Amino acid sequence: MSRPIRVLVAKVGLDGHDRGAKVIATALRDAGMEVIYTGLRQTPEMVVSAALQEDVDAIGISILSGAHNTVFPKVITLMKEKGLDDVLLTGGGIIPDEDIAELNKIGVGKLFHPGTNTHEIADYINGWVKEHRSF
Amino acid sequence: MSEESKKSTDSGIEIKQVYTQQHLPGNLDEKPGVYPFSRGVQPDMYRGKLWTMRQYAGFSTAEESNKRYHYLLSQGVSGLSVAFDLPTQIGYDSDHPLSEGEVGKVGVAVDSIEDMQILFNGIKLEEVSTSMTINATGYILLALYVALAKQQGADLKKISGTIQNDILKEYAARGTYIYPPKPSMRIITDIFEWCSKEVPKWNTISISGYHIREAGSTAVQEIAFTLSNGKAYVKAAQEKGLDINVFGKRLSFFFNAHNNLFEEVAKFRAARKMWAKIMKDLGTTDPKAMMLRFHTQTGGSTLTAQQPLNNISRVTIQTMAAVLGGTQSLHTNGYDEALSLPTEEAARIALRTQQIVAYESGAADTVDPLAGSYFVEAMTQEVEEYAWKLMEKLMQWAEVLPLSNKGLFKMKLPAVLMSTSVTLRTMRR
Repeated sequence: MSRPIRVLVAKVGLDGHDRGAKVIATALRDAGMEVIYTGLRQTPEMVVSAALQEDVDAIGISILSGAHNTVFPKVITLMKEKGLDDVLLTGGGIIPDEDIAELNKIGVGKLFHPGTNTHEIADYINGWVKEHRSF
Repeated sequence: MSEESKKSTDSGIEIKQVYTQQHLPGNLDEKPGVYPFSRGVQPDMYRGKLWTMRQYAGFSTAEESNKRYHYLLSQGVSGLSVAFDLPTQIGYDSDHPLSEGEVGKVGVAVDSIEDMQILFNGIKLEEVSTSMTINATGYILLALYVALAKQQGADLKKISGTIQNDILKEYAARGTYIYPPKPSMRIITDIFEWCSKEVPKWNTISISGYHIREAGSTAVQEIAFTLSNGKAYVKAAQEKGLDINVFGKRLSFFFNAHNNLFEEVAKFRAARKMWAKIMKDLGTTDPKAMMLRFHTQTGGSTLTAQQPLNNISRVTIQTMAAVLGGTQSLHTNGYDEALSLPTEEAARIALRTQQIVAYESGAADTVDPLAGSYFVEAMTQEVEEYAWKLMEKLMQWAEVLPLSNKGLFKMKLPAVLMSTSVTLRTMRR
């Protein structure tokens, strides 16, 4: 790819815990990516619309409020509707393994637990984008 | 000494290889229970009464929460601690579109007085003390609580509890704000005034460093920011014409306990001393209104999802820090909280950790056991000096109100939290 990878880091719902999102945003920036951070209290519609307008390669959603089983399916449905099915949806937070397995089945990418090495997340996004968006 | 062997705390305080008498601060002739309260707010501390073991909990519905409260009360708990869901905290009804997926998730949903009736069904509000973690909508929940107390025929002069009601840290760290700072401060000081007349035993605010620390601050920043916020509330109340000796007694604090045992103990001791001085300088004459009384919660962000059982050891160290630091109440986290809401087993171990420290460790047997230690006294003095300097800098930038408006708080935090994250990774190896 001839340009830096673009990532939208988003907080969806009413959850105010944004430390993780900011750490990830900073780490991805340091890994050479262009990062757009949405700020708090976004709806799935706002996130997908921003992803479309910003032409991002990946969306990363941080969620610690337990609303992940509502938020991720809504975002993935909207992404399909808007033709963003070649964009990675990933994320992280306090999300139990069994919920992660279910979300992976409907097309959500890897979801990371707190304490994950940020290089691991950058490597994952890099690898995915290289494989799926080489144009 | 080479660069390699230098050690320092997260706050940047350098730790010497050995501390001796020469490092002791000048005047150590202090007694607990008297100004400036470095050694504790009571002369007898835990010999008189142990700290309150107050575990924060909230369940999906008012019915479920009510069951839990009855269970806790049957186990001899005297204080309840209510967790509300995010829509309740931000002022949305459960059927609002923005509430989708959030209802009943991080606590109980309370939309109406009917919900409040169910939540406290069979519980006499005159006989329990209830802590409610509620900020921007604190006045609504307090009004519902008082209305319910009236329906029960309670004497309002006897009902006791706490609302968090600390909006300044919501802008800086926790995120459940609704209105801008100015009108929010008006609501808060209105609450101070109303409570002092109508519900005089109510703690009108819990000025919180917990969330600032979780958002990535150091120990020194935690107390500097929190005491600055405290000062802003006091000044706002004074401008309204309220009596500092009256409302000052109802102010309470909420701090974090992380892993660096000695720096944390020093932090609590320094914070008490600083607040007493701040209140005195602002015109307080009643020593009771100079006391910094605080709740502690162990540090959520110190827990790892990897090898989660290790978190039990971390929580134990943090419990020791809170107790040696003289906390009035304590919540201990479950070891699995980096993975999900705590399981029943994890919640039980968390409570047992407090009980082991209380009844087996001996830490509660004498007042302020670390007083006089070369290291702890030197550290207390250093934390205090660093925190005063930072508070002064904060004041130079702006008073806290416009500071929150401009987001200067947030500018300082990311750098520190980035380094914390890196440190943790390195430590984990």
